[in-house]
Amino acid sequence: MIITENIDEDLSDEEVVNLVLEDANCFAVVISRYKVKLFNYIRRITNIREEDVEDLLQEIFLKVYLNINSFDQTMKFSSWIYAIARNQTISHFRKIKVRPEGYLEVIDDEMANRLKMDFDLIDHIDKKEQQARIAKALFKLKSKYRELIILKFIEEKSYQEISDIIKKPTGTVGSMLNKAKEDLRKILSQK
Amino acid sequence: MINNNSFDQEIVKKIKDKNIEPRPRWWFSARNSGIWLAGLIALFLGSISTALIIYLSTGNDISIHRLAGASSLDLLLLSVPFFWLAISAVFVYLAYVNLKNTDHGYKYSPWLIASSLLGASFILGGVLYTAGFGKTIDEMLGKKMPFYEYLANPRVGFWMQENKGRLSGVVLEKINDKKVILADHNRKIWLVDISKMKQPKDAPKIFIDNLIGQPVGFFGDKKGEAEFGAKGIFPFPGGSGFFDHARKIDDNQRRPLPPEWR
Repeated sequence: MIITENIDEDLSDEEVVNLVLEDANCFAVVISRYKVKLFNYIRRITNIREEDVEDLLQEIFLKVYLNINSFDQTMKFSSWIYAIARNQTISHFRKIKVRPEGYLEVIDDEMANRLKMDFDLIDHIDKKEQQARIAKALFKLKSKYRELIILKFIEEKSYQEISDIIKKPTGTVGSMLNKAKEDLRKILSQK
Repeated sequence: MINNNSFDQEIVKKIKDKNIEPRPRWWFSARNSGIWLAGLIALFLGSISTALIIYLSTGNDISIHRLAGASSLDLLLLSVPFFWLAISAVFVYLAYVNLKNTDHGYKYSPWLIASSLLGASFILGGVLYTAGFGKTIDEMLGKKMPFYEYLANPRVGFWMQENKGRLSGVVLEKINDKKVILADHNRKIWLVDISKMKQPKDAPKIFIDNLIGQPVGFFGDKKGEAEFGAKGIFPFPGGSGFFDHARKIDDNQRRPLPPEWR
């Protein structure tokens, strides 16, 4: 197995893409860099089983490889691959005619802290309790808003990146995110 | 499983086994160009509709339509070209969908794209109208389009009701200052008495000599099987193609006119 070991970890995604175009083996680097991130992202925006996520991920990576020449260097590679993952996930749910429902199994400390700062959550509540509360509140949000909160506060994407992923203008992302935060705050303030 | 290397290798193996190749760059360029082209074609068709809206809106005379017995609903339907507005809206919407689906289309606000397309359709439609496209397209449609008189140019349909005192067709001949010969859409020849015709004060003055060969509507009373007493005239815009076959009746095809018509 050539590949991953020989490729400098410091190479940017964009540089790896250029190598993939010369040698399909280099695609393993793209997969190893993104499989866990995309796995978690899909799990966070849907409720499908782990085995099904793996099947979906395979489809996503094959699609990424097939369309790699359409990668637009003016955007981040991560935004491009997230956009493909998102579209493929939506198509998957369209095919099986089920609505994707959030399944935030794990909210780790770091994520909880980021959300805590933005949503004025009280510090003295037990960490576990707080994480469960956030997960429950996110579950109650409309899916279009939940997705934005996940991208912004859990995946830590910028407005521009979110715009490139969900294919909406940055202004729209901003106003939708404000609405999402407002709704989440309301849900969190309910006893 | 996702955390070990076998997942990565399995996908790479699948790519090799199935000989999957990345789609070439030109494929994406062609697709993007196709979307742009479809959008521009939709915009052009929308602009033609706009040219027709402008063309068919000229010469709208509410006072004459009122005298000819139009109800408030008729006036609305005759004054606003709803059919062309709808067609124009459909094409502008198609252009919008296409532009939104180009590589960078999502970066722009839907309002900016929609208003730019509406503006472009209006400007291009104005240019096409000035270049005479409105008239040309109306003539073509009048010759071929089914239900033209009800959908594309409802004024023609409104003026085709002799029993309600509205007669339309092409003026073939002026016999004298009191009588003209008119051929309707069904190539029926009518003697129209224009001696008692009066135009409303705010309507432009009409010279019959200038209307020979042109589509017009008369309002008044049906006096006999093929005779009509006109009280007023409306030279409506458009309809030229619709009455084209009536205009082409020549002297040989025309039955001899009764001597009393002369």
